[in-house]
Amino acid sequence: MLISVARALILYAVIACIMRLMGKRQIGQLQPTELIIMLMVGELVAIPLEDNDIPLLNSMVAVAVLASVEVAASIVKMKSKRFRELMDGHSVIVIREGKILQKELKDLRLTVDDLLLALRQKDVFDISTVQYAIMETGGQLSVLLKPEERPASVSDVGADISEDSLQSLIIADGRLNKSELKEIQMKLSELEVMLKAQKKHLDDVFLLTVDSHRNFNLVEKDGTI
Amino acid sequence: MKRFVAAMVILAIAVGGSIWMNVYVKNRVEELVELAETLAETAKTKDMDDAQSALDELENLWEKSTTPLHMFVIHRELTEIELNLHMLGSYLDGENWALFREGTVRIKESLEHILHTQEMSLRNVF
Repeated sequence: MLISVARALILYAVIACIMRLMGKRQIGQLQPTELIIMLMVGELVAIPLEDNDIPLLNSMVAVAVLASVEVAASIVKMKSKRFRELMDGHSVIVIREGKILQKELKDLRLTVDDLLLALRQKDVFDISTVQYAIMETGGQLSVLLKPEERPASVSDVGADISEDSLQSLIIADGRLNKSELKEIQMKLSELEVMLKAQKKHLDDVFLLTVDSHRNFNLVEKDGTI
Repeated sequence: MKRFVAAMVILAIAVGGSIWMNVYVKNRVEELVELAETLAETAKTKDMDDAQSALDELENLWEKSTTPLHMFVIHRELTEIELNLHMLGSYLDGENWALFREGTVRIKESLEHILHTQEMSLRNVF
């Protein structure tokens, strides 16, 4: 049993390194080859975990090779459009000016039901409102509505809205984040003065966010942590 | 670029390590096969002293090789050899030459099987 624990810990460390190497891109935007690699890695790791008779190195080497080749391929894809199209295919327009392009739909082996479902997931219920719908290489549908159907933006209505700035997480879960403090060029003493003005102490704060204009949002500890 | 370099380094280590591992397993198992052959010969001549010294030699090399081999070879194949090796001692003590010979043949065949499975060949790849 202890052997299984040790093997699981080693494989966890290997997978953590491999995932780090492959990058965050893998989690959010899986291309067809990336999806297959992820499934294969999962399977390769599961085999020695199930069977202690199989050497760990066999799986680790296979996982390392797959991940390295995938990273190398993704970098070659960045450099070469041809290679990218060969590996991932290319985006296909399936609706143009409210009209379904049936040939493209057939080539993608996509039914109208599939297309309508994907449109509904984008909150589009009427095909005639669509200027372009594009099936991306990762299988997602991108939709551009006709100009008259698009929601108005701030610039469309000409409203005067002050610029937003990013909130920095200065205290999270009651812990001071010194790097964030440094990021917004705020001294600890300045923070303490700011809290004092609110009759608060650093130890009382559960969450504190501060923007670049020194506007802050404070949540006090409720005594549970 | 950093990620590419890291990937290439890992790939080089994986490929280089695999080649080294193949060579290591091949050499070590070939040595063990050679000793198993010597042991089989002593079973034919039924010379107790020769058999005992050949068995000791095989056991010593096996002891040295067993940990690294477990890193690369499926464990149950090695366990089978280990069990047979232990049995050989008791066959020899009882001067049961028929079983002793059978045991040495089984060990040799198991070692040769490992050699074949580690060999870089189309049969093994596919």
